Amino acid sequence: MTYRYKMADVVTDISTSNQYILEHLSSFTASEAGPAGMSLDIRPVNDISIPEGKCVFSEMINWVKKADDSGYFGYCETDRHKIFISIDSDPEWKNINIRYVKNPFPVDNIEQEVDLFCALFAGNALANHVILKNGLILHASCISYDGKGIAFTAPSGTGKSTHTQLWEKYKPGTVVLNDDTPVIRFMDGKPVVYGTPWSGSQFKNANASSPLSAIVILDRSQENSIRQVDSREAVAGLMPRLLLPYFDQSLMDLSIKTLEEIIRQVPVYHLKCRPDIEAVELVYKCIK
Amino acid sequence: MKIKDGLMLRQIAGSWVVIPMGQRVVEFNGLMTLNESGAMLWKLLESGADMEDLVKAITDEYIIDEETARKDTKEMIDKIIEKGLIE
Repeated sequence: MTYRYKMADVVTDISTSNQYILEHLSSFTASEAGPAGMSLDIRPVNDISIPEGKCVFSEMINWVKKADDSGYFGYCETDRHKIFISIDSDPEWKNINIRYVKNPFPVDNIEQEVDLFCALFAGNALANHVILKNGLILHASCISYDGKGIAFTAPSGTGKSTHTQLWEKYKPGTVVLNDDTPVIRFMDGKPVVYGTPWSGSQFKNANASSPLSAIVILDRSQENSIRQVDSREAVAGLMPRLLLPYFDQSLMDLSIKTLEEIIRQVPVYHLKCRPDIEAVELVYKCIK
Repeated sequence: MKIKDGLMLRQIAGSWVVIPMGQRVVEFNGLMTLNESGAMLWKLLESGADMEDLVKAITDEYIIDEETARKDTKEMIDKIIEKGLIE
């Protein structure tokens, strides 16, 4: 059965019977007509084999650039080198097949883990698709308040989510668009930030978007202070926080162009803060 | 001396940034930013250059005495050797 979704303005058709995926994406269901921007086919198989090509990047996911520039193939293995999930895409990241082995390890019950990987790979497909549409994914907790999108970025554990929780508490009307990995895209030449179904372990997100008004690089401190940074500091602060396509040079160059345009249009601030209302007010004064 | 492959030097909004690609990401885990002269030396090192080539390039491009140029170049080289970016 095929279901239609819209995520970061990408109309996506997903053919699957995987209940976890369907639930994961449920709040992004769409009913609009017309062709899909991206199609995902997600189904279980008995066995997965690697196509011909060149291995370009192995970390948690192993990436293979398929022969004849026919796209990419990514896979994950169990400790015993059995491939239990794969993603196979055309070069445009439009037609994507995700295959998983139903229960690769009958002894250890990792079926739930396979479901999580299915969702992860589907998110990966969208991430690469939006790069080709001049978009980027920033590791940030992003809110919408009074029609303005604000992305708070920092390394994990710094207190991004804690800070946006303070907005929810002290600034009624605040919506957390995405608590971990929002999409930034340009619509009519203006940067827009989108909630997506992929938002870290807390699954805190909204099927909503907002013009991106500010990016805030967040640091913990005893004292609250905020200042706007120049483009040099913005690059140094944002580059490590972007989910970049390290496996493909042309996608990387496209991402860099997108980042430059974001920095050109959106003010970037450095906030040193305590987890308190004063920090929220400092940011609010900058964006209002 | 030659820069390892899989490292791209790119100018991003005016800043020079070295971006590791593919497997290099796992090795280096981070980005390196360079100033104008650092970027010039990096480009020479991409195609292989020795200390004399680099010092000459610096003294040709900037108003600087050779001794200072040598010292600055060595500092830059030490930095990239320390990061393991040279073959």
